[in-house]
Amino acid sequence: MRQLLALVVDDDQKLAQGLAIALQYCGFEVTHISDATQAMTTIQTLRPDVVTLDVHMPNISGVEILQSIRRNNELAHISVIIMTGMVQMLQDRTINEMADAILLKPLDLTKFTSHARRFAERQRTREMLQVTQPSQSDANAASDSSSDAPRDQ
Amino acid sequence: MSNADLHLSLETLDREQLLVTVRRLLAEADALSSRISAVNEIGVAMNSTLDLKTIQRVIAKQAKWLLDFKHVSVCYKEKGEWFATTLFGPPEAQALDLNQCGNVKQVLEKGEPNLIHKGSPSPFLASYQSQIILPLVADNTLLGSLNFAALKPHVYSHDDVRIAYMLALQLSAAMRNASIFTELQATQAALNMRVEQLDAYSHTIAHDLKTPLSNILLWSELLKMIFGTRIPPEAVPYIDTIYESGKTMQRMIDQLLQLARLHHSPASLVPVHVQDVVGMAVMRFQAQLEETGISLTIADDLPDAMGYDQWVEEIFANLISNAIKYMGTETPVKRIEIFAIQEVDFIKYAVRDTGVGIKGEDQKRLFEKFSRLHSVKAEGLGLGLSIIAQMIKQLGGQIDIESEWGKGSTFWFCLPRVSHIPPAQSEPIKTTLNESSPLEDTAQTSDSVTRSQNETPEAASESVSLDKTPITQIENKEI
Repeated sequence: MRQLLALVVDDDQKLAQGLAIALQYCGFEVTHISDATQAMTTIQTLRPDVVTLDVHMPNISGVEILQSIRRNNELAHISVIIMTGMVQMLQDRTINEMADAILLKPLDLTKFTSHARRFAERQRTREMLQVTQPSQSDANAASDSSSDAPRDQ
Repeated sequence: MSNADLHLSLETLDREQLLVTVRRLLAEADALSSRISAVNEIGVAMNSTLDLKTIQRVIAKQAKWLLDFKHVSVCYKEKGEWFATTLFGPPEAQALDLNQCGNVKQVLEKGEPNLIHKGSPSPFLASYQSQIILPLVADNTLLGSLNFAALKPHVYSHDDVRIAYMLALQLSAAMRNASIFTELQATQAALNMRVEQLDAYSHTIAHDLKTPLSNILLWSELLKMIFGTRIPPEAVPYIDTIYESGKTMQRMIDQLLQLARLHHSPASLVPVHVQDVVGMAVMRFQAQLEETGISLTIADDLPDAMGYDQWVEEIFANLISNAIKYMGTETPVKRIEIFAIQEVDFIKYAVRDTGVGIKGEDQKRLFEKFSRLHSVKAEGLGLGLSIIAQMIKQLGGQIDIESEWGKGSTFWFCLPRVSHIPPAQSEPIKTTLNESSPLEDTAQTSDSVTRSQNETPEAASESVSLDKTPITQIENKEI
């Protein structure tokens, strides 16, 4: 079984490090970066399964990175967890449509890890289905994405 | 000519003289009428605007019905220098050297009108033979002068000075009002800016505080998650204390942020689908309700009201959170009910709990900022209820409480019905929520306490819920 990969993008280095430890605990191999401008290059090279993005970062916002991920066909499948300190962001339509989960800061670690585990599970299922039923993989992936549990707010 | 003289003289006049007199009297009446309407116009202008230029323009325009002139101007002081603004006639020099302008200087020094019959004594108004210069005084402060001038000599009488003086009085009042209004606008703009700066400041501070707080919470949770049983059992409460203190601080920061946001009230009220909004609010507490074994029921046809979705959700969330917080561990039946009563102009929403209740003396301080109750263990800044009370007030509603120590509380609040929007959002609905409101009459409260001591909680609940909307039991797991 392939090692699942995660990328943490947060300008607060300590927090990024903490999230990385939590994701490692959930079975991911984790990279964390604090310079958000490097996020897209790192995602292109690393091809992670899960990306966690802080919204408010210098130079580029997490929402912009999320948009770039969704616009790129090769990256669009990545599970993205958005994290924000602003309650109003929970109502943001664009973020709601694009992100797999939105979490409020300060973070609830139990919620965070349960999302991470769920996304890991989903990725494993996708890959298993691709191996067993290669012709139907796209359809399954699509149905999997639409059957997501309600997004966490 | 007095009425008696007129009567006598009319009696002795022949037909021709009578006609001439009547025509003269009619002409005089007509002139008088024009003067009255001119004075009226000036009064209207002064009452309808605080713009000084508009008032000056109207005075110059209407004064022609009252006085004969070829020039009208106003002298005023600005930043220590004297200036003249010509309102009618060829413009005079704008900057004034008072030492060169004896006609104006005398008025400004003495504060009395100056009537010049022939020949200008100064370069200012040099080409005008007749002049009336009047002081403009308001609240014992000399503001400047109002100047009328005519080309020919001996145009003005003392009667004209009296009329001009009346105009000067009106202009003085208008100048004072306009200046106060301008000052007021400047003060308000400065205050608004200050409030915005303070809001932005508290917002930044609160957000900046969240960053280290996020780390405190995350790392204390990580400690337990990663090291699990390897942590000495006696160290676990230490970690829990760090975490719980962090959570308390988080709630405080959230409350401060919410308080800062209250200054930006919604521009207009919109219909709120309260049923959905309550559902959203309850969802936030699903886990807590399960943990504490509290059952929560929501009436299945909560009426809509005018408001603002996020605020109404916040109001319900706050009341639910309070109900959970003050449920008490010893309470035999842990229950929260949400229901509503339709009134003529507004909807009364209620969140009732079977918790510990609130003592009479605490009820009075409940909606004050930073108040924490003595009778119950409270946490945070004590801002929650004061914030929602402020929200409800800004939405045109009111909040109140019925509570009995040891038997639970019912928080009521009203919002305007969808078809009834109060004229001013900030003006609360003038209806008392509860006839025996504990906030207004403590004597009645203690009376109601005595009475309900003999009733079972169910019986007490029944008496309130007679006309409430039907309640459907919703187990907390299904919400």
